[in-house]
Amino acid sequence: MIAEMSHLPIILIAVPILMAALMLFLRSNEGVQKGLNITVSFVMMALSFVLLWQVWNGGIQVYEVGEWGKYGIILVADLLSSGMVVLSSLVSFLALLYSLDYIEGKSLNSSYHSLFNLLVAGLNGTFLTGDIFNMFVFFEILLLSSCALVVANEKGGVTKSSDKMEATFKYLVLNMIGSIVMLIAVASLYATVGTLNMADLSVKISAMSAAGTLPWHIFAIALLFIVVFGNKAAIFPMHYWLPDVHPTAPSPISAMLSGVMIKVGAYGMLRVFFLIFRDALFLFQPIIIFLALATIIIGAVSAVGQKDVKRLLAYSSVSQIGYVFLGIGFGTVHALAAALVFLVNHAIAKSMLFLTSGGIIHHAGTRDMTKMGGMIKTTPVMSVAFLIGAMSIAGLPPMGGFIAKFVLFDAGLLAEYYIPIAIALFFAVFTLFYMFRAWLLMFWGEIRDVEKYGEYSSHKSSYMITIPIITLAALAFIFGIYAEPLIALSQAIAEQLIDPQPYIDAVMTRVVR
Amino acid sequence: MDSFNAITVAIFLPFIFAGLIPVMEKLLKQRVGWFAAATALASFILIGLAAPEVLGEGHIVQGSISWIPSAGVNFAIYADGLAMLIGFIASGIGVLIMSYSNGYMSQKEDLKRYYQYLLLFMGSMIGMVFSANTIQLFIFWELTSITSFMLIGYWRHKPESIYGATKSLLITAAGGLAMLAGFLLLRTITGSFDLAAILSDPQVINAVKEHELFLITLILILIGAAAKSAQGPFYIWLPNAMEAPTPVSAFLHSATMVKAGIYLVARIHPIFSGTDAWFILVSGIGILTMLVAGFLAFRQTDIKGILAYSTISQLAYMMTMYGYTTHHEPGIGVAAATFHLLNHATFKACLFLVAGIVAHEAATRDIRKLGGLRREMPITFIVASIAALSMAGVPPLNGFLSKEMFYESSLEMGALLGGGFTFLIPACAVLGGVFTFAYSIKLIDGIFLGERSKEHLPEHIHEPPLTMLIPPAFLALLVIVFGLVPSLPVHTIIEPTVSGILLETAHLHVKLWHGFTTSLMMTIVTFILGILIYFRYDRIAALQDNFNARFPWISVNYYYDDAVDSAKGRAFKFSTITQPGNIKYYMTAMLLLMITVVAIPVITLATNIVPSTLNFDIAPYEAILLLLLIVAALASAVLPKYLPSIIALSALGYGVSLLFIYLKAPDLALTQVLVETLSTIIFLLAITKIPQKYREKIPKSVLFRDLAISLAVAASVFVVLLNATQGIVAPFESLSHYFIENSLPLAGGHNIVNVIIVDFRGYDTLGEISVLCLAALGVYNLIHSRGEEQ
Repeated sequence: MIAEMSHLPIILIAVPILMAALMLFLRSNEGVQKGLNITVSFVMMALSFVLLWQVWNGGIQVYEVGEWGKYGIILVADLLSSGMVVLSSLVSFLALLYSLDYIEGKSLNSSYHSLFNLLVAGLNGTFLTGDIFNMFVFFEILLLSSCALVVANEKGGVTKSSDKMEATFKYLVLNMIGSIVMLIAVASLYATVGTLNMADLSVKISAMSAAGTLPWHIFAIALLFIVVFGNKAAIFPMHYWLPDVHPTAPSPISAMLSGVMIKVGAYGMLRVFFLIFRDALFLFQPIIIFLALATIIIGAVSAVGQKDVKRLLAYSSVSQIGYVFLGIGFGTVHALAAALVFLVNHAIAKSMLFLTSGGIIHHAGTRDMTKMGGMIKTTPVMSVAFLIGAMSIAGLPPMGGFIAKFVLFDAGLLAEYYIPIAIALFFAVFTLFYMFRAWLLMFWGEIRDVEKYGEYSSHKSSYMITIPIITLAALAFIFGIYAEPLIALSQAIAEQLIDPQPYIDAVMTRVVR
Repeated sequence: MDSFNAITVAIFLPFIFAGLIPVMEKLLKQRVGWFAAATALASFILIGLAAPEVLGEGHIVQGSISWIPSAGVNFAIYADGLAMLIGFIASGIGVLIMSYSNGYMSQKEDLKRYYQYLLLFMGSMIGMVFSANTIQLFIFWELTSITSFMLIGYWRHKPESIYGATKSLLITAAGGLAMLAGFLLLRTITGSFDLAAILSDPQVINAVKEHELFLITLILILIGAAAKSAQGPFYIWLPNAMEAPTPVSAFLHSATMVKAGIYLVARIHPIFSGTDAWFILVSGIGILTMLVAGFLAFRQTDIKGILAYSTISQLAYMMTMYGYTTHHEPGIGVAAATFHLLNHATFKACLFLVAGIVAHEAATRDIRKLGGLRREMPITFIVASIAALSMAGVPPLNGFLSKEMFYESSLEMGALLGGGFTFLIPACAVLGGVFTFAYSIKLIDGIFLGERSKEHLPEHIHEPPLTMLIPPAFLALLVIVFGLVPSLPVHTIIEPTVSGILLETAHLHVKLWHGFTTSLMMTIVTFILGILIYFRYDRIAALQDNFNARFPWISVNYYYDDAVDSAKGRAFKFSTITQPGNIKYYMTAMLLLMITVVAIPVITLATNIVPSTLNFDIAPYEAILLLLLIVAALASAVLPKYLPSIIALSALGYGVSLLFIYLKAPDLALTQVLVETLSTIIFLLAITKIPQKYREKIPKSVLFRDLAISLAVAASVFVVLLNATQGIVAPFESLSHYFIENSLPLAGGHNIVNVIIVDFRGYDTLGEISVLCLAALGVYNLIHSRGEEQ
C-alpha cells in the first residue's frame, strides 16, 4: 500500500473543513466557488471509493490523530464505516451538483457552500471516528450544519420562511435534548469504564462481564443510546421532527437528510451496540423490534394521508427507516446484512425522490399533489424517475427496493420472527398504495385546471438537475437487477459486526508511545 | 442452440427488443407493430426449439446462471410440459395480438409505449413460467402485474383507466406480497428457493406436508394466485381492467396473465395436493367463484364486461379441477384442467378480438344497442359463433371436450368424497355450465342476431381489415381442429404438461365421441337448463340490478371503494392525532422513552439502585452551595415572568461555577462564568423584544403531568450519574494517569487540561471550533433568509 494513502481517513474529514473556510474567502467569485467545490466533492467521492477498496482488500485501517493511540482520538475505517462514507459521499456529490442550479444564487454564494462542506465533514467524521466522545462532537457539527442548511433559500421557493423557522426550531430543540442525553451517557460511561475509545470500551466491558463485575447502570447507559441514535434516525417516538424538517428543507438538503442523515442513527446503533454493548443486546433487540414496528406503522399510515408530496416522502422515510431497524433488531448476520441492503437502497431511492420532487415543484409551482396532474406529458424525465423511486420504495421488482425487502423478510423468517414480519409485510401494502397514489395523482389524469392553478412552468430542467436524478435512478435499477456486489458487501460488513474481534485487534494492537 | 439457451433467449429477446422499439418506430412508423409481432414469433420459435427435448423425449430441461449467490438465488430455468404449454400460449397468442393491433390501434396512438409494454409483458410471462426458483418466479410475476397496470392505464388521462389500473395493481401486487411471504416460508421449511430441487425430492415434499407451517404457507401462496387469477373476493379488479385497449384484454386479461395464478396452482400442485386443505381451499374458492361470477355476468351490458365475468368463471373451472384431490389420487382433475386451460385461451382470446372488431366497426360495445350484425359482418359472425359455442360446450368444438372432462372429474371427486358430495359437486359443475351456456348464447344473440338498431349504430358497418380478421379466424380454426382431432393437442402438449404436474408419465385418451356416459347426460341437462334460463336472461339481470340497488353493501367492490376512498381521510386524521404539531408533545414522548429505557434495567437487573457506599459526609460550604443551587433551579422553573426566571437561571449557572472553584477547578469555573455571563446578557437583550409574561394559562392537570415527567427524568439521570460516579470499575483505571505522566515529557505542557484540549484531544477541539463557526454561519443565514422574505 502506498504510504500517503494511509492518511485517507483524515483527508476525507479535513479537506471538507478546509473547503468550508476556503469557500467563504471565494465569495467574490461565484464561478470559481462552484467549480472548485464540485471538483473537490467529486475527488472526495472518488477517494471514498478508494478507501473502501483498500479496506476490502487490506483490512481495517486505523488512523491515529496525533499518534496518541487509545489515549487520544483514533479514526477507524472498517467495512461499515468506509461503506457509509462511500454512500454519503456519493449522495453528497450528487446533491451538491443539483444544488448548484437549484439553490437561489445569493444564498448559495454566501454560506451554502461552506455549510454543505461542514455537513459532509460531519458525516465522514461521524462514520470514521473510533472515539465515542468525538462522535458527540461530530454530531454537533451535523446538527448545526443541517439546521443552517434547512433555512437556505431555493429558487422560486414555495416554502414560507416562517415554516422553515418553526421546523428548524423543533429540530434544534429535540436534537439538543438528544445531545444532552448523549453527553450524560458518554460521561457516565467514561466515569465507569475509564476510556472513550470504542474498541477499548468493548474490551473492558467484555472483561467486566466475564468477571461478573459489570454494574447494572452500564445497561441503563447502553439503552440511553437508543434515545440518542433513535432521535437521529427518527424512529418512534422520536420521529416527530422529521415530517416537519424534511419537507421544508430545500430539495437537495431533503435528499441529504432523508438519504444519509437519518442513516447516521442506524450507523450509531450498529456501532455502539454491536461493538461496545454486546452484553446489552438481549435488552436492545426486543426494544428495537418494537420501536421499529411502531415506526413502520406510524410512518406508513400517516404517509397515506398526505397531499404535500415532500411531506409524503418524509413520512415514507420514517416508515422505511423502521424496516432498517427491524433488521438491526433481529440481529443475525443475515438480518444485519439485510438492514444494510435496505439502508443503501432506501438512501438511493429516497434521495432521488426528493431531488425529483424538487424538479416537480419547480415545474408545478406547488407541493400540493392535488393541484398537479397529467405531468407525464410535460415532464417525462421526472415521471420516469419518480416511478422508479416509487417502485423501489414499494419493493417492486426489478428495483433495488425489492431485493432489500426480500432479504430482510427472508432473514426475519429464518430467525423465526413470524409476527414482526407479518406486520411489516402488511404495511408494505400501504407503501405500495401511497407511493403509487402519489405518482398517479401527479403524472396521470388530465392536466390540471390551468385557470385555477396556472400553467406549468415551461422552464426546462438543466443537466445539473437531471444528471443526479438519472444517476440515482440508474443505481436504484442496477441494484435491483444485479444485487450481488451489494449483498456480498453487506454480508461481509454484518460478519464484521457480529464478530468485532478484528476491529478490536486493529485498534488495540497499536503501540502507544 | 441447446434447449436451455433457446429458452433463455426466448425470455430476454422481448425485453431487449422492447428497448429497440423507439428506434424501430422511427424506421417503420405506424407499422412498428409488425416488428413486435415478429419478436413474439421469434420467442415462439425459440421455445419451439426446446420442444423436441421436453415434449418429445419427456426431459425436463434445467440450467442456471449465477446471479445473486449471496442470497441463494440464481437465474435458473425449469422447462417441463407445463412451462412449455403456457410459454407457447403466451408467445403464440402474442403473435396474433400484436398483428391484430396493427389494425386496431389508431395511428394517432402512442404506439411506442403500447408495443413496449406488450413485449415487456410477454417476456415477463415467459420468464415466469420457466422460472426454476420462487424468487425469480416472483420477480417476473410482479413484472407482469406492473406491465398490466401500465396497459390498463394506457389511456392515462381517463379517470376510469386510472381507477382500473390502481385497482389491479393494488390487488395483484398486495397478493404478490402474500405470495412472497409464502415462498419465504416454503424456504424456511425446505431450506431452498429452488422449485426444481423441491419437486424432485419426495422426502422434501412429504416434509412440507407434515410441517406445522404447511397451512399458512399454502394460504399465503394461494392468496397470490387467487389475486392474480381474479378468484374469490379478489375478482373485482378484472372487470375494471377492461379499460385497457381490447387487444390487451384479449392477451393479458383472458389468455395469459390471469392464467398465472392457475399456472402457480399447477406448479405447486405436487407439493401441496393430496391434502384436505388443498381441496377445500382450491376447489372451494373455485366452485364459489365459478358460480358467482357466471351468475353476475348476466348483469353486464358491455360485451367486454360479459367476457370479463366469463373469464373469471372459466378460470374458476380450472381452479376447481386442479383442486380435486384425495390422498390416494392427488390429481383427479389435472388433465381436464390443463386441457381446458389451452382451450379457454383459444376461444376466449378469439371472443375478445371479436369484441374489438365490433367496437371498432360499430363504435359501441353496449349489448343493448347492438344486434343484427350478421348480414354486415358474416365472417365475424361465424368466427364469433364458433368461439362462443365452444365456450358454451357445444360439440364438436374443443370447449365441449374439456367441459365433458370437467363433468367426469367432478363425478369422480364427488364419488370419492361420498355422502352428499356425490351429488353436490357435479350439480355445482352443471350449474356453472348452465350460466356459461346462457351468456355465451347472449353474446351471439345480442351482437349478431335479432333486429339491427338504426338509432344507435352507424349507417355503414362492414367487415374489419384482414389484419384484424385473421387472428380471431385462426383461433376459431384451432377451436374446431382441437375439437375434431383432440389427440393432436392432447398427445403433443397436454400429456407432457400433465406429466409435469403429476411428476409421473400420464396417458390420456380424449375422444369426441365416447358413448352415452353420465357426463354426456350432464351436458344435455346443461343445454336444456341453459336454454330455459336464457329465456329469462333479462329478468335475471333486472333482478340483479334491483338487488344491487337495494343492498349496495353486499358486494366486494363496495368495501374496496370504501377502503380506498376513505383511506386518505382516515390516514390524515391519524397523522394529525399522532402528530399534533406542538413540540411539547414531542419532547414528552422523547423524555418518556428516556425514562423507560432507564427504568428497564432498574426493574430487571439492578440489585441495588442506589450504591451502598454513598458518602454522606457533606461539608457546610457544600451544603449551603447545594441548597442555593436547588433554590435557583426551582425558581427558574416556577417564576411567572421571563426576567426573574432568567436571573434565577443565571444564578444557577454561577452557583455551578462556585462549585467548580470549591472542587479546585479554577479554569472550568472561569469558563462557566464567562459562558453564563454571555448567555445572560444575550437572554436579557432578546427578552425586550418579546412579551414579558407567559400568555397561556396552564391547567393544573397539565402542570402536574409535566412535573411528574420532569421529576422522573431528573430521577433517572440522578440514579445513573450517582452510580457512574462511584469510580471506575476495578481493575481498570482512568486515562488521566497517562495524561499526568506524559503531558510534560511528550507534549511539553504543564497544564494537563490545556494539553488535553490542544494536543491529546486537539481533534475534538477542531470539531468544536467548527461548531462555533457553524453557529455563526447559521445565524447569518437566518438573518439573510428573513431579509429575502421582506
